[in-house]
Amino acid sequence: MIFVLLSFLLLILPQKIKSDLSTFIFRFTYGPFYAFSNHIKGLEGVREENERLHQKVMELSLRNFRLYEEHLENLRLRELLGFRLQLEHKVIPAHVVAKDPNRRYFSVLINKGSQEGVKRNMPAVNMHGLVGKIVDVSPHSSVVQLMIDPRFRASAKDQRSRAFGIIKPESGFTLRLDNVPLREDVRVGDFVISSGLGGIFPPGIKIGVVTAVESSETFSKEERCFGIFKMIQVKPSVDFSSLEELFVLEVVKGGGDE
Amino acid sequence: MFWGSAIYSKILSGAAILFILILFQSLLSGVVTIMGVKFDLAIVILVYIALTRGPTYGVIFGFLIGFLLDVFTPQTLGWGALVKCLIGFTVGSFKDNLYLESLYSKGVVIFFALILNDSLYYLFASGVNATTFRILSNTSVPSAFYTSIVGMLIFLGVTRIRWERWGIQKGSG
Repeated sequence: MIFVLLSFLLLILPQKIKSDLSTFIFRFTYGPFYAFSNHIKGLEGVREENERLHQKVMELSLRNFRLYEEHLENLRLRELLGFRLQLEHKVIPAHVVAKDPNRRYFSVLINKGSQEGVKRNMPAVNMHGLVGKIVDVSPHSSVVQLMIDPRFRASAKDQRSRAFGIIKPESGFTLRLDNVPLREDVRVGDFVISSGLGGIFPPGIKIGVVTAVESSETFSKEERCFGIFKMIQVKPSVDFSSLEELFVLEVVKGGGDE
Repeated sequence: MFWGSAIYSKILSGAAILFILILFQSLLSGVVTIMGVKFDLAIVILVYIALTRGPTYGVIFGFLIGFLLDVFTPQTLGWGALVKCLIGFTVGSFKDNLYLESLYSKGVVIFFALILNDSLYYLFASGVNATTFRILSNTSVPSAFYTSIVGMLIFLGVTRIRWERWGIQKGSG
């Protein structure tokens, strides 16, 4: 009985105490083993060089995403001279130091925290695209909620047709683009990117590629028959099973005109 | 003196079990994952303890194991512990009602314990919706099969070791 009460007590603890307690327990239980594992994995010099190069690739990838977005915008909105993207990103490189070992595998622990400038709700990305967002911050570590967490939601759009929707996990490592009206033109092979709506994820970050739409055999007949929205399955561009490095994005406002 | 050593022995064996779990989760859990299907040593240990030592130990170890796994998700700290307390108690309560000599019955217990564990967790994490059922069927069921099979082999190995340790021959009663 006392252990059940203890569990309830843990549940109702304030989030700050939960984070501190988890960090404390982690440090003295899993910490040494993960440290050992990480030490074995990488030679220090190679790791630093690798980190620097990854950071560079990340910055270039982000720039590339943005340039492609701007290119599409220019095609559609060439009359609107003077329009330019306002957002600039500062990236905070981080290593994944622990993965949620449960089958649910919905979060990872990274080695950067509030002391390094990480804050709650900051987006986490890698060179392939969006990974998730920060949900818990300690001084030198943070928890990243992955896109495959059942509670994850983000505003997204089809890069080609600009159809907006809400990205949410499907099952396993697949996603679903929901709330896209039937009349919208979404095709297999289209890229899905963050829309920027919602204020957490900057626009233009790659999320994945459309692998099936409602007409596809992927969905059951019952799933296809009813509803006013399309059924769209998305394969994430990020491989969640092999996350090692990622980048936390700090959005810095630029001085552009809208 | 006898009682003191018995208590120390229990504490030490409990600590050793938890140490093995921590070691496994830190270093090996990724290695034994097959095509995204994970093996859940925590459930195997919990079921083994509950079946051999009863509901009280099931609850104690359920709490400790659940708490150790909860540190990876501070947002839901305590929920995993509570769920595993419940599983430890439930499995421990069935201890005397199950045909425990049969290895298959232990496999079935592991299977349902894991499904119950995941169902209760997802219920808390995302409520009752289509995504929950999809994740349960696509992730938890394969994992439950995998864990049951490996769990049965572990049970078999542990039983053999205990037989050899105590000099008991199979079939001698």
